[in-house]
Amino acid sequence: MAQGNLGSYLFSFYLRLTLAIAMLAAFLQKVLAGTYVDGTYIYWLSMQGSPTERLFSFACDLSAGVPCLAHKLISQFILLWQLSVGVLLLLGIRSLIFLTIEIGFLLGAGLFADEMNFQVLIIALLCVVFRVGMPAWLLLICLLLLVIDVFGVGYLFVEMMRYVS
Amino acid sequence: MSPSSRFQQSFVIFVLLVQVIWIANHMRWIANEQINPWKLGGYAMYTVPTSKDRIDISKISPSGETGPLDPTITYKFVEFLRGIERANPGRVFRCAPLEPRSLRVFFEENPLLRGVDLVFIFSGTRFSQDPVAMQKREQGRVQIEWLGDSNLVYKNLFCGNVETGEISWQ
Repeated sequence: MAQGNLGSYLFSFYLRLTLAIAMLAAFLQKVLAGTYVDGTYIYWLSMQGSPTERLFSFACDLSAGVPCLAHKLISQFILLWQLSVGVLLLLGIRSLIFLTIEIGFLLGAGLFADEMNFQVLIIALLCVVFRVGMPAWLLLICLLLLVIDVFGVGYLFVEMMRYVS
Repeated sequence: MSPSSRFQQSFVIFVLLVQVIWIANHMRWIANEQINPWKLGGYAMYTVPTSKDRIDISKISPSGETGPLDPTITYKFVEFLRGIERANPGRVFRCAPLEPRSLRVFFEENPLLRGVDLVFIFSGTRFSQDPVAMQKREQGRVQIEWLGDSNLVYKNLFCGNVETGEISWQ
């Protein structure tokens, strides 16, 4: 392998494993905290979180005092999703389905946390990881996400609802 | 493979190993509740809500009872809080003791409190799973006892550790 190609390969290899390690670490930390296994964190955010963090508040009766089955299942699905993304990155599988899972996770997490700048950064890094370059349509989506991030999804949603009503 | 390529490969593997070791250590700190989960890499962010930390200062009467400071007097905490922030930004390390330098600055900012025995109580909110709630919990405290006008002894009590020391103004 030529020196330049090796450097490029090593950089993408390093980024891929770093992202995989970060995903697996985040998964393990969630298991360690136990708040996703029993659904308590999503339940808490559904009551006390920002507008986007209350995304799943419709799924349960929040006055019950304990997370319902839906919140438990949603939390465990998030855990499983994060684990899958970590493992897929670790294995370095290049497939449209796997990329959809990875980007889907990022966008879902970004929407929930109302923080798209970090997601755009990771999407750009994924393009380097898989050495595909960023297509023009994805670049436009990322730019749009950054513009949305200036205001925040929660703010835009509230304003939109106000306008509609 | 050239020596340069071998070095590049070894360097990447070394950096990845350092990351894994750091994450393992981060998990150990989180398991022992020693650090803020959102900091030092933030691998445990979104596992629990952020803690709302605060410091309360009370005076200790000669009988040992704690009570509020005189509300008619204005106190300054600017340099004291700045010193805490410099030593332990955002109090990321929850079990870290208060540095004597911060105490010295506190009494230099508030000369009226020299000679008054005090206790600094560090508290934060912790997420409880049963019942699901944020509960106030003490992280630690610092007890101050004056020995005359220009000497004090302090006792840092954080996470089961006790550290004592003396500060003097000459």
